[in-house]
Amino acid sequence: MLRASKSSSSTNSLCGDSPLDRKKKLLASPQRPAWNSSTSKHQLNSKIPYKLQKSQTIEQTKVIKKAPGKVPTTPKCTNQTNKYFLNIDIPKEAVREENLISSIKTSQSHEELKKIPIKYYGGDQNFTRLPVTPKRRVFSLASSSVSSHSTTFSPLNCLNSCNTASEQIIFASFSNPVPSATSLVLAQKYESVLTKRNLSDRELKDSLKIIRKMILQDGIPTLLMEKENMAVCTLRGKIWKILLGVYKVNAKEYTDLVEKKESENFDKIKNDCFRTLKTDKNFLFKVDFDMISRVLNAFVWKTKNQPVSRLINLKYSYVQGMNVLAAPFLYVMPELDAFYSFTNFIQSNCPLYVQPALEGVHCGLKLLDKCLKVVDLELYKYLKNKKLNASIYAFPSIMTFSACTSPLSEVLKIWDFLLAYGFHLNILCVISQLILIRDKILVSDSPMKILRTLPDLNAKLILRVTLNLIPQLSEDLYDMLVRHLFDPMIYDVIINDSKE
Amino acid sequence: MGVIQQIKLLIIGESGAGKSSILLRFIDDSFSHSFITTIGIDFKIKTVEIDGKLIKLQIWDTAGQERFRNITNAYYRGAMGIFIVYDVTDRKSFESLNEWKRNVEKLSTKDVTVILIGNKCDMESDRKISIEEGRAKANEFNCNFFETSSKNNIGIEEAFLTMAKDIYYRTKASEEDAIQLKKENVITLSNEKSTKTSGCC
Repeated sequence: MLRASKSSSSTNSLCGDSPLDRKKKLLASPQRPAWNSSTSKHQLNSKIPYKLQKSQTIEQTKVIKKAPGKVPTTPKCTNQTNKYFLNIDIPKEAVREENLISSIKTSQSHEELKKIPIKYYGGDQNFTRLPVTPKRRVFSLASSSVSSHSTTFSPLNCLNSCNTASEQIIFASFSNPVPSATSLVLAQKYESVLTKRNLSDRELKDSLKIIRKMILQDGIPTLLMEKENMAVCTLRGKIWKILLGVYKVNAKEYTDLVEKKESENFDKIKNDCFRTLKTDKNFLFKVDFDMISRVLNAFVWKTKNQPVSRLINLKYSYVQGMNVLAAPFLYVMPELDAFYSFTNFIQSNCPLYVQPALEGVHCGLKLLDKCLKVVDLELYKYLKNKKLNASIYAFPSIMTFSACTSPLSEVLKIWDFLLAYGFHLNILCVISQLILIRDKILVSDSPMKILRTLPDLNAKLILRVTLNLIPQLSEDLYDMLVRHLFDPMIYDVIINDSKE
Repeated sequence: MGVIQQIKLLIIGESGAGKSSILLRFIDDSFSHSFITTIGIDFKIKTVEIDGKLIKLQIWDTAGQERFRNITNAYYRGAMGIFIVYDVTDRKSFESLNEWKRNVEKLSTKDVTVILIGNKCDMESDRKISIEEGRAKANEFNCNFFETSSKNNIGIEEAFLTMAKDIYYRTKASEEDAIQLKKENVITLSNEKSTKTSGCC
């Protein structure tokens, strides 16, 4: 079921890299230019973007810069080049490889979409179950001293965060006489991968690969007791931390940051926090607004004192919308874990999205238009005729990685997928949402009425459509998608391109 | 006779002043306590009747935080009227008015109609800005002034209608002038005025 031979040849050994690892490698590339606002575009262009396969890379960049009007022609890269040049083909390959569903024409209606066999996102009865490996480590139940409310931060939370699913299963079965058997089995399966002792890099990568695949196939179950207990890191939280590369948290550091009191941005933070996901009852029940403001305030302090990296000159502070990005983390894990996950997420997954001028978001919106044009020309033209482009209707969805659309429970499922395969795929998820309501849009005189509040998310359906969009995009477009989250060079290419 | 098909309006002001709530009240006549922050830019449309003519108001609602300024700035130019909103319970939102006004002067067309709005006037106990202070500011800006409450539906329809009428009469007058001019100069141009498209939606 892993189709090991094929995947290892096409994606090399990087398949199992966590997103952070991939990113680290990218940032570690010594010839990556420092990016700061004082550097002129011209200077930027003349620099070599990445080390490796030098001749080819420079050549490629030239092509891109010279002909911004055309889709830049990326030469077919060898495994070696791929590995370093973009460092991002992994998610694509992984998804493509798994995407066996024959690509459907997007002009098919909603009804027809429903008929697509759900092969790789849930539902496939015939897929071979993973052999459940015996558990190597089980944490002592003693560590689950559960405090009933974690609205006030306690360093104890971090102790609780390492509970295993097995404990939660026990709790779940206590609290509900008829626990859902499938989610328990699934949780156990995840747990066995999470607790597996990996003896080599290779094994670690394979484990991560298994987790990614499981997320795509089965999703992550929500255990019953997780819904009520706020002090315990949910199974989902644990998986997210692994995918983000948050392997340790430092309670001392966090409490110190919290004790620093109000940062310069605290007024703004406070002004936004109490308006976070106010429509989601589960969220309001589980997450206190003070938690969000503490996490964001600590984030401001932490990044303020951070030396600006000499490799990539990005400044971080609070920007509006961060409250929505922090919310899912606080919902699935204790505050301390959420702080580190959020920080990692911002800095390694979407650094350009949180810059003051929103470079990443603007690129994302332009790319959304571009991708929509490719996958559904009719819809694209219709919206264009109504003078609607992504920067008007999709701004919130892009900037918050769909977290602004209700309900949160479905957002989490989409984030599972994004964390596993890359946040650039959010753009395709937004397009999928459009495609799912395209019939309505196409007959509407003022589509903005429909698009202002997108219908409630249905993660299963959205991901199914998303998987079908991927093969329709050209390599170059996909490259841009992946890079727009963190590569300042791509900004000029995309913005110039769209001007013409 | 030139009929204005559409008037573009813009609502600006500090984050949290209640811009989206004002718009929601005007368009849907409703109020929501659980309002989330506006991200980017949004617009809604409402048709009003002035002198028996139907006029489509296209109202752009902006995000207040400076992070979004470079996006929202792009919308000043097309706007024929701009509401500058502050929160009567928040002095900071009042103090930033000069900056907003400067922005308007810098970015919008010269003859743009400005209306100053002090929102949340239902919260008397928390009031920090008196109505006199608001009026004085409006005098300084040389514009109309309304105190409004989206919650209790005070002053909102009035403010929008004042805006719409002002723009309607102003545009009508200038169009008549233009027609007069044309007649005098005996220039026959293809009817440029009627080529106004209806814009979005």
